Amino acid sequence: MPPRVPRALVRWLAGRDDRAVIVGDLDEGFAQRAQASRAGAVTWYWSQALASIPGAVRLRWRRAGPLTDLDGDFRRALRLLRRQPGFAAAAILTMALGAGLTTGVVSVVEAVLLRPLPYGNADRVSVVQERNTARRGGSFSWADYLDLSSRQHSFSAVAGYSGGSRTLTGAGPAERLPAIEVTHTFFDVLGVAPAMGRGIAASDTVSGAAPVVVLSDGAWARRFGSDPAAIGRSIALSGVPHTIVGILPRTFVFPPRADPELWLPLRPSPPQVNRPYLHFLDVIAARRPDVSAAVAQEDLRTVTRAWNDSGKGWHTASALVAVSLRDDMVAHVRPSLLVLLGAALLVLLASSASVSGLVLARASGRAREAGVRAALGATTFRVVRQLVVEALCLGAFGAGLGLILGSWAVTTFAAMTPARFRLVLPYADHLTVSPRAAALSLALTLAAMLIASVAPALRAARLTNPLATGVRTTAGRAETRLRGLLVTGQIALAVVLLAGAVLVGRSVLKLTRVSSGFDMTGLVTGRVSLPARYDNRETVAPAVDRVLERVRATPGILGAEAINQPPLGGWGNTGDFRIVGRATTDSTNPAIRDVTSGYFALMRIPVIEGRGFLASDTRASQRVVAVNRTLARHYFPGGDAIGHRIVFEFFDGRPEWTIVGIVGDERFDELDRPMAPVVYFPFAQDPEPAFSLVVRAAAPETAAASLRAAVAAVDPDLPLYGLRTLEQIAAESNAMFLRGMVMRLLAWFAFAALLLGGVGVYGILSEVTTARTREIGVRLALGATRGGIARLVFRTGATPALIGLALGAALTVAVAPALRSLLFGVTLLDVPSLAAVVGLLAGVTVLACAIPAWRAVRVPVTTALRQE
Amino acid sequence: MGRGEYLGEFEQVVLLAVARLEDEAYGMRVREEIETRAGRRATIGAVYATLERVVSKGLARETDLPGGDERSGLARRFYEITPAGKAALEDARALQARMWSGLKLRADRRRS
Repeated sequence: MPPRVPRALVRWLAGRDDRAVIVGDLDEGFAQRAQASRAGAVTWYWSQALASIPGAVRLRWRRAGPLTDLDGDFRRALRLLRRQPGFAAAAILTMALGAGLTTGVVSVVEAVLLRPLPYGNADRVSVVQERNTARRGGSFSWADYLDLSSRQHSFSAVAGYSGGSRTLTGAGPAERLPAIEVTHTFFDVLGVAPAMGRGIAASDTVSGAAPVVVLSDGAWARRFGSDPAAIGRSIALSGVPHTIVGILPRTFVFPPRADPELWLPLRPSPPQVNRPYLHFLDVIAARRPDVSAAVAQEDLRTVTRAWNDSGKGWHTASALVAVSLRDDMVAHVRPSLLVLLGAALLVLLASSASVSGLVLARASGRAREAGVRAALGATTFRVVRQLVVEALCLGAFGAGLGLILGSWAVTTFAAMTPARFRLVLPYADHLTVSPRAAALSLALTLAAMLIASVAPALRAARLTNPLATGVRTTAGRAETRLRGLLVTGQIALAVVLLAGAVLVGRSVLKLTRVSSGFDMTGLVTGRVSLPARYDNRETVAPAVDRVLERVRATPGILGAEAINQPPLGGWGNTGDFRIVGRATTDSTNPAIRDVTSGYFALMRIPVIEGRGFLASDTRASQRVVAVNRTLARHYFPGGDAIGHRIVFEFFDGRPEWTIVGIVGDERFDELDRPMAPVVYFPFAQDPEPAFSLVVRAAAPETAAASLRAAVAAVDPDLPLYGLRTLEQIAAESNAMFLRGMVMRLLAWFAFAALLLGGVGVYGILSEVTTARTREIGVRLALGATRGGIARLVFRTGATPALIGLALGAALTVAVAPALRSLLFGVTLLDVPSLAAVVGLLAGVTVLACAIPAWRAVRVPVTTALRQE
Repeated sequence: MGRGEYLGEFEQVVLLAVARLEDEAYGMRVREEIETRAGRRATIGAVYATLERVVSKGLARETDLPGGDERSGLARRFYEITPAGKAALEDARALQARMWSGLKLRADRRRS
């Protein structure tokens, strides 16, 4: 007897067609040699068998013909898809929907949250913040910045920057350009070198040095047509000539400051140098490569302790914190994007389940075909190959359409996003489909399609007598069960998505009901910055008055006033005060607003007590302030605010200001934040050369041109920039926009999932009903009632759907905490929303079940029995 | 066989063995013929893989016939050279003859 092990090995590895002759030959050779010596024959058999394996495998591969007649398979696949256009379209669209949405969302998430920033030190740049229990924001004073730079040991470079803008004059119409002032260490921290010329040198920041400017690539291209000769040229910025010394790389962006075009050396003004409590500087630092983030934070804690113990009043409550630059930039959008990413992945799951369900629905028919082909001599390999080719054909169409859909999704996403988000988020201004995102989502859907189409056929082809089981066109029990599971999954996913959309939607609704404290109708705002020649307390107020006069005289303008900070533009300036006559005044760090006398009337902010401002409140008259209701209630719970005098540290000479009025609360910040205390100063008593014009117009959308003309008529060097209606600003605020976007996208995703789920339930029932026609006929013949049959069919579809509804409700409760940051005025477990969602989906399910059930009932007994 | 398609070396050896063995050309005998006449070791797997290739090219035909006890009753696969196979072998020989015609290989002369 030949040795069993190598014989079995060869048998197993050789193809069906060849194993008999190969093993036969080996046995024959063994028999010949065994007559001489059995040991020699065994050795020969082993070596011959093992050495034959590569040849046998090659032979099997050749016989399987992995590539022969591949074009035939493709032709057959395409013909099949043409013959079943409904199935093909459903599968292709479903796949494209899931893959496309996921591609779109993953592309955005990849760009904004994951792609490394275009800096040499991208992974080591941190934002360092000086946090304080009373003070919002994390900016530094100049003294704190210098102190931090010298005390710390963990960062190779520390840099400060301060925002701003400059008016470019002398080259066409005056244009306001976003600018940033940076310390000479700034580009070292990021690890970025200019593309041309030089960056900001230490000598540029010395007071009295010749003014220089570094241009962004965009500004260089737009203003100088990318002419290298621009270096060395002089441009007038807010009336001061600056020499262009460098151009930044094209890829360089600095989202924390909305893409500045002008980079200027930071030269702190005398007040900035002298007042250690004047926080104006944002600080970034590059961690040394050999220092971990934890060690760096510990180092900052040491500095913090030194500050706290210094006995300087403004330091006692400070804490220094380092956050990665990327995290700091995207913190406000991360929760929304992650929710969308989660939702897109759920849609991908749902669409994969749906494609699997569709393909499985055909599997019974295909299994029979596979059985026939196997019986006619096709190898399992060829049967499977045909199915793989079919799945790939569907997949190719689905992938192509999915890519189109994905790129459309990305474009739409970019178009939906207001500039204030696009400019401050990494790469958000140049969103494209990420190849990695596309590959990921396409691979997942394709895998689902392949598994669903090949697995049932593989089993059918392996059956010993495929025709015996293949003749009945009923779906196998396993397939039906699997499709039931898929339907359960789809319905559950639809519940989660829809419930999420409803929760966020209700939050948006509640937010729209939050009062802004003023009447937004017709309000338009824009920014004006007076050039340097106005930069004098005596000349600013009259210039502002001239602008206001001119604007008020414009047709269609119902009123115009000025305020130092843009409305709804965030906190802006803040500062603590002390109440004269009280031993202590607790710190709430109220917002500071300078407004012209008609401001409250224009905004329709009520004056609750005392008076508003008058034209007679000038630099020559008594210093007065108004406070908002929140501040009055906090400091004067007895209602005696009027007449109290307050002193601010930041005013030279620390004069006393008398409270003459209490006005209604006006929102400056996001609608979802608590109301802040505010102190209003008459503009004339605290004039600012940069101010926001607030205008109530009859036709706010079309007021821009006439407003610009009015301002330019006062002084052609005055640009009016950033013109928006307040309604636009409110709609684009973080609070509204992020929720609105998530709500809309979730609603679309949920609709997709709902559609897929409904089609899934309908599909499984149609299939089951058709397959059971004979059974139904028999049952009817044996006396079953039509109602009984309807219930039978209904139950088949409703059971997996009901389980799906319950599962979905449970999942919703489980994943709702992920939405927490997006909810406003809605609890995580919002029973009415959830009940409504479950009810809606139950309705869809009933509809999807009812049609096949109705069809089943109408089957005449004779037809049913004639089926076979 | 199309123009420009030539038999591989092992294909030639296998086809020649089939031609020589005439009625006795089945797998194990072909392998032995190659080993004894060409002095080349060949495995049964490699021989069958090559035979399948020449059959698929139409250079040989195969027939399975029942085997005896010496091979556990397993079938023998017999091969027969086709006219196309004969023509291919002739072509191969003629090609070699043309290339050799008038050629004398001299020992390498190396410059020192």
